[in-house]
Amino acid sequence: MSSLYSRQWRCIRGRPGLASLKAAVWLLLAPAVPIAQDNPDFILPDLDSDLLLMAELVEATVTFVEPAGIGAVNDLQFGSLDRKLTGQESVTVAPDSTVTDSADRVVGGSQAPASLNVTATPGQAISILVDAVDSGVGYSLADFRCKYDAGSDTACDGPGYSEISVGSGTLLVGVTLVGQGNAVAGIADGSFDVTISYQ
Amino acid sequence: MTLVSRVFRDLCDGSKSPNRLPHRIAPTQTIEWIGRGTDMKTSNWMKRFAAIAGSAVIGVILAAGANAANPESVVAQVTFANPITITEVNSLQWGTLDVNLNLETIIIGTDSAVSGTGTALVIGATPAAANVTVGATAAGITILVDTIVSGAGYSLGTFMCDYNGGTVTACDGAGYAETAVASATLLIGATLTGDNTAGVGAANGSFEVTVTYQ
Repeated sequence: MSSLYSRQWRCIRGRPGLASLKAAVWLLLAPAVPIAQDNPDFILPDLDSDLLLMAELVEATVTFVEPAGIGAVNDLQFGSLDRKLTGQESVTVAPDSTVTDSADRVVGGSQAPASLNVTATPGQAISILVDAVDSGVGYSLADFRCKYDAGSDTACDGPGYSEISVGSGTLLVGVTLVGQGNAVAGIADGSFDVTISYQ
Repeated sequence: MTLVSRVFRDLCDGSKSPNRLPHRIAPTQTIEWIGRGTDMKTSNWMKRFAAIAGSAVIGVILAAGANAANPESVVAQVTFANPITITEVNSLQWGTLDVNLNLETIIIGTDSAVSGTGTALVIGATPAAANVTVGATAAGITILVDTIVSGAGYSLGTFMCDYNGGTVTACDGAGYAETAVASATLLIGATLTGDNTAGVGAANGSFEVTVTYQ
């Protein structure tokens, strides 16, 4: 309302004579009349049409969401690998649990993608990102692939990728392990971060 | 909630003496709920109330945070192991058997002891358990005997294994689990059962031993 008044005042200052007088009368009457464009009782005084400026409705867009949460169901598992894995050899565990062993270096244990439970407000655009990758001694981890809920298998390292959130969805994460030719027998766990953010 | 709201109302009412606070609470609601008798001092009561309220707030915060990790750190489990090696020291040896084996059984234990209904039919050479050397990284392993091929006139079954002086265990079928050492002896015995069709001559059989990391 104050914005409308100030606009009208600016118009009056620019119009000398009768028009300014009409405008001043209108301003005096205005507080007694409900000012609303959709109010049928609101009758504009007989003013020059160019005195009036239309108010523009500006929307303030706000969306409230639940914070996205991630819970690890199980780690990414490569099982036991032949320590003689060279730099030309790799083992890939895909989000669908498919294992690709380029040189028959899987010698035991279970192979499985990481499984995480992602909670978020449904229907929101989210970004899924894998970063902070820490490979263990003797190998490197690369080419992370993710599958969120009913979505498709998609690269999720680098810039990550977009999905539409569900209330509670499973995120499967696979990756390729590439040997470096210097592995030693024993545990050589690595790690990585999974981040979910609303767009 | 009623009790709490009453307490807050009373605490905020400046006309009421805080010292009378416990007496303003309805007898059926009060003090047992707090865990004290009606003669509890107000200062203690307030401290306890504050402690309960504080604990509740902390509990709510912890509960809210328990499933809200984002980003989540995920472990990539990798174990490197030396390839398992199996080297045969000697085969499973039945020696020389009477061709009239019929349906008798001859059992060779992992300690090479001979037993069964047909022991008297062993008429030459010395029976012995199979002996293989297994090299591995210290880790869980599975030992399995399969792909059993029996010779003419008999069948082989009921394979028993002794890994590194451990417990004698059946190792055909699903195999069994052991904890590997760098190098160990695996002894294998079995049962030979005649089928009444044996003929004179060599009638060797075979089987495979597989050792895998778990």
